Amino acid sequence: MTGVLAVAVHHGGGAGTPVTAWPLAVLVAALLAVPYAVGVARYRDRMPRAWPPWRTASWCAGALLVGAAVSPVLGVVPDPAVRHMVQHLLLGMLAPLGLVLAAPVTLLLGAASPRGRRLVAAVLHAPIVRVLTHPVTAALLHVGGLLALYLTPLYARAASDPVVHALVLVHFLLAGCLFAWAVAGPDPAPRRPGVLPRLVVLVVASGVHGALAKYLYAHADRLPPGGGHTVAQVEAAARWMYYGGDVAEVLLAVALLAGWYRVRRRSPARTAVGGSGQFTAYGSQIRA
Amino acid sequence: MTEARDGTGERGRSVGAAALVGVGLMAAVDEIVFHQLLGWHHFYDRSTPDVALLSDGLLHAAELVVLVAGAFLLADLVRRRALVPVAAWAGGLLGAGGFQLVDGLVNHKVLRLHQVRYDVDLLPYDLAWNGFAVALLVAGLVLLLRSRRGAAGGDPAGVDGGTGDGTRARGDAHAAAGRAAAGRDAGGRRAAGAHAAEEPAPGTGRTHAAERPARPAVRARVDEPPSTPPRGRRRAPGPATGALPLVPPRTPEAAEAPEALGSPADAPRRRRDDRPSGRRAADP
Repeated sequence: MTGVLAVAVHHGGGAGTPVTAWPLAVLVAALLAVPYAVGVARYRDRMPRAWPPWRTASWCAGALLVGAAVSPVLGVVPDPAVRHMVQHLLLGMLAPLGLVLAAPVTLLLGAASPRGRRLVAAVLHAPIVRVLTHPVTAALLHVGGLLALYLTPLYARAASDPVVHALVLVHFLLAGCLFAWAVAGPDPAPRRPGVLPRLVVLVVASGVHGALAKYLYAHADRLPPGGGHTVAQVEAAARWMYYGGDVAEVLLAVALLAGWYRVRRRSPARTAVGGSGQFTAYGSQIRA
Repeated sequence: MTEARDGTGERGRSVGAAALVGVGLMAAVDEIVFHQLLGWHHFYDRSTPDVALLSDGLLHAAELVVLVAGAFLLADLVRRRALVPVAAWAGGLLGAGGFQLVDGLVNHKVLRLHQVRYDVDLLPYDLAWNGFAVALLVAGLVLLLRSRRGAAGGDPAGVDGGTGDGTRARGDAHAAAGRAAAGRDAGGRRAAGAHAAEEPAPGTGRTHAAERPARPAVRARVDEPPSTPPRGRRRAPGPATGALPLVPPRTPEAAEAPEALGSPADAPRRRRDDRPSGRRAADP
């Protein structure tokens, strides 16, 4: 995908312009949507129940947001710094939420052949994947990427080199997905930490994100290094970053706690305590 | 004895969950009213040192998560019919007042992150700000003590089968709720009444069947709050028992439709109301 993006940039614009083009947007959205649609079809063949439609809708929304983030639609934002920030919010925060809530790994497990399932499980259990998908690692990759982008000359480099720019965008998307998946994903993950540690990671990551936004605002005259924006532009972008980060944080917290709320209703262990044997028997009968 | 301990737990959980919501709501009010609408505070005050930005950011991020988490915890308590309304109001007021006071004293005065308002004489603003915080805290504390005393009188009464002390104490708590949270007491009392009607007589599970007819009355009461007080007075046992009758039916319901994700708040309640009536028809 990096190659595609880089080619599109070479094709579509010179240095400093955002990576946007209609063919690219359609291509990226299709690359995301088609495999998922195939998975849904195969899931229906293999499993007794159809795949929940709202998860498909969630994936489509995520794919559309990714497409929108690299399409000329972004041109409605006149300010280049703000446009970059909106792109960052779409690719790194909102689109990943849609993609992650679509439970792609669950779909993959249901749609794959028995051999494929074993392969997926083996990958999930691989030590490197376990470390990579730990919320703390994901948060470091996600927020660390932003720190590197805005506090080092990387921003200026990305503005002049389309390949670096494309890599940065891909990193936004992948790290955003990884973070959302690790913190609030509905997919099964071996040894996923409990709700409280994940909430703490979310708070720390969002806190650093918000602090970075205000730091950019405070030092708009010299940050990002070599960015070539005016102070007013960087200040506006920093506001977008701050409030956009709030929105993303709340959405992630809701996604995480909604999962907790759902599971808590299903878990029978605690609810049977103190209840009459009559009800307990009734419950287990229904469950069986 | 177990019930008494459970009662303390439910009350504590109600206080805690509502306190989280109180903190989050007060933070949101601060953010929306003073930062956005009035523009008294600033998005960023030039005097804020860079280090404070991080603590500020972490605090703000925590406030948002706390609000969401508190809302879900409260929703879970309501779903389990384990919410103790007086305790929840106490927790909410304590949380809101506590946040307001910390914001007023630590953020404004000690850390000097920002002030209430700029280019004016600060004293009246600070007095109003912190005075309001103290008022909230006092109201919360009064409610908390009332709910404790009500429960302390109520639990033994429930165990003995008597209703005298517990009822009076609880009535007082309701009155306190009315006084402290003026406009909101209708909601609180209604919730309290609904909760009271869910209480089974203290004792064994056999009483569940006897308790069941009380349920339609709950629905009627939600529509007509004025009919609440006479019902509410009959409540003697501690809140712990209130959690029992409705919890077990949840299991079959969960097994039935685990995918009801659209409106988790509405869907289970509707089914919960349907199910007991069906089982009641089947029981005899």
